[in-house]
Amino acid sequence: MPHIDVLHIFQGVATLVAAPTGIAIARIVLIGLGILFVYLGAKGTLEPLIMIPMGFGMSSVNAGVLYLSDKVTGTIFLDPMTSETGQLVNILQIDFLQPVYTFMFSNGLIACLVFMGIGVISDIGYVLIAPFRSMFIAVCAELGTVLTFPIAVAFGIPYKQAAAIAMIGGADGPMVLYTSLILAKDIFVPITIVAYLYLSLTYAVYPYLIKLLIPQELRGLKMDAGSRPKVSKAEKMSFAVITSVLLCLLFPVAAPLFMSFFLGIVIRESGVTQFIDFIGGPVLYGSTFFLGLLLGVLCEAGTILNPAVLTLLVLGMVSLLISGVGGIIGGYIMYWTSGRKFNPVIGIAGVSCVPTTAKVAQKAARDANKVAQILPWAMGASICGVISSAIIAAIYVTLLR
Amino acid sequence: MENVWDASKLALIVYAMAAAVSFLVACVIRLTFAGIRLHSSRGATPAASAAQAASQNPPKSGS
Repeated sequence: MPHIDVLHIFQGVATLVAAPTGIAIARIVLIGLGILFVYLGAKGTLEPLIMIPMGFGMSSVNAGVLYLSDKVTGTIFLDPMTSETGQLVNILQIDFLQPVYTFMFSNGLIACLVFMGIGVISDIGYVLIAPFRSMFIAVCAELGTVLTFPIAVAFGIPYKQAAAIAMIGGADGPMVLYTSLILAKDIFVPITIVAYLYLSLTYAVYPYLIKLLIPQELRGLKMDAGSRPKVSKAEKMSFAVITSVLLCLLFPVAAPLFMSFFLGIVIRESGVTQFIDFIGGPVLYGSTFFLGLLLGVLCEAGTILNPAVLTLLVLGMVSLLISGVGGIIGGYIMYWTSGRKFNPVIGIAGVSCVPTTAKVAQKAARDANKVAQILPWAMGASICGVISSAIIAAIYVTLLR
Repeated sequence: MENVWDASKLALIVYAMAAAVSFLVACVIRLTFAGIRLHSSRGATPAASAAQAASQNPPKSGS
């Protein structure tokens, strides 16, 4: 009978025992963190659509490390570092998530599909209510994406990576993924993970920011519902087509993002229910699921044990907080310039996490005054936030690529 | 290490450009809105005049 080494049968345990102490501890911590994400996602504390597949992927990949050869350890989930063509073709036939990563994730297709889905669920009519006000608030809410850039450079981070980190302040997951894939491929995994982690926290942290910066009587300010014009489908479609062509003309490097978002809007307004149901359902949620799962699987201890991660955690939080404060400042400016008729809480919705920040704004207004209805204006600011974030991402990519 | 002062200047340029392009988009929204409204009001005016003329001179009943 051959000699049986029990540890070689249970290779997940064997690689854990044989790994350097730091890696072994990181694997155990990440397994626990993954389980915590699944729990908090299921409970609703964190965004379940991302956190459940991400947490599951994170705990599974860190448990499932095996010996690929006598000395080399790894997983059969995917290998993000492979670039040589022959090796990639081999890995595509072994690692089960490699096809999704290579053909959808690393080329930004998944970000574009999510963006198309966001377009389908966004009613651009809200923007057409007050385009200048909405756009002004959105520009104010980009303060974090701008100020974090020199702050990150002061931390010793190179320009390209600093710009990718600063984009976290735009609170737009696909945008951060797209920018970091182009500008900071070496650290796009931790940047995107931090971005998605914090995006799910905006729901928990921004209400406190609103309460801290806006007194109750202003939070409950009623908006004039009679000032909302009716917008036809033709107007919405014309706007989407013209704006998409204009932005693609100005920033060809971000043209896939612009085209995806505005195509989603055109599909929504075209009324072709087959496309609307397909893109707003299976495409959006399928892409979000695989995005979450791949982000989790990419959180392998070896990848995530990067000294830059701690800095990223700090800068990501700083960026989102500055953007939130910027949005509220914009809301206050609108409040003063409109003769105190504009609810400043709408400012927070300029941070473009559609529709989360708009819902946060509406909830804050409703908590202060049960009849306060600000959602249409908040949605307008939020959708403008998506457009302004895409513009800033396009400028960063064009200047620094 | 890259210069923080240069980064601040670059950030300012990025913000100014983003603001300009964002307001350009807002202008496009306004122009699209105004253009379509003008077009539909022009279309509505002749139709309304035709309807008014028809009500003043009702067609004689046929057979």
